Amino acid sequence: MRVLLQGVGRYGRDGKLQKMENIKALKVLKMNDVAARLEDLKALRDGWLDGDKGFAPDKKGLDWLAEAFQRGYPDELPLPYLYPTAEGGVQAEWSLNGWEISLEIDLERKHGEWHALEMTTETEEEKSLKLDEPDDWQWLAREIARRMRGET
Amino acid sequence: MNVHTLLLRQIHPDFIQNQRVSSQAFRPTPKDERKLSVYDGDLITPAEAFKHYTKTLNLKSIGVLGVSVKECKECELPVTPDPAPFLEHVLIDFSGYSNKAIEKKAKQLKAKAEARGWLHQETRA
Repeated sequence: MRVLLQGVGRYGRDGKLQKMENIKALKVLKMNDVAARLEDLKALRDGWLDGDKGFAPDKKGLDWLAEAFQRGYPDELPLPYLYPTAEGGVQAEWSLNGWEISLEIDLERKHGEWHALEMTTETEEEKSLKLDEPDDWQWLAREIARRMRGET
Repeated sequence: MNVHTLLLRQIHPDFIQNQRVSSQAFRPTPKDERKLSVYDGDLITPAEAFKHYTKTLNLKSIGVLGVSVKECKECELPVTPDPAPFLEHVLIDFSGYSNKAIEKKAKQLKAKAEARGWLHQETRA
């Protein structure tokens, strides 16, 4: 279980949290909480993937993506798994009723490449999304809702 | 190496979230020249491969998943030994496929590997 804690903390010289002076808010996070996961990805540095590979995602880009998900992705839908990409982007993935869905996100261009694969029939769907466009977030939400309900 | 040979893939810790592995773990990165590095399971055990990768090569892995040569052939992916870096090194070749086709094949390989289960996992002290 992960929690989000807001308050005033005391840090040691080593930069590690020693104690909390007071706690203003404590919230239990959902599994795969998008904002918390994207915050985690800010810890990555260039070379995170085997030393000579893997650009770190841009921190402002991660903040934009967190806000974009909050604005454009309905709460009732299953949260995606989020992974860094070697190119400095983020890949969102869902496994829903036999569909393996991925959305490769370019943080700089605010662009996403959607790919959905039905694992038994090998039916594939793909689409380029402009993630600064509300219409494209609505399209994404409709597709995830459809897969969640088991519709083809 | 034959069709039954298991090809051992190291899984980077950033390609796993809440126990779920990303399809990227089975997709070559742009710097890999569309070739995915694996170990020949006939020549090395999953535990030995993990030790070699994390200790000798000093690279990050959270564990080892595997696909067979036959499963790669079903995905129309050639498999070739590449002993130059080290004896057990093998390449799964994604050359000639579009990015979308690579994504599809990566998802299929990941599903086959996950159905087989972890062959080795990092043990924490």
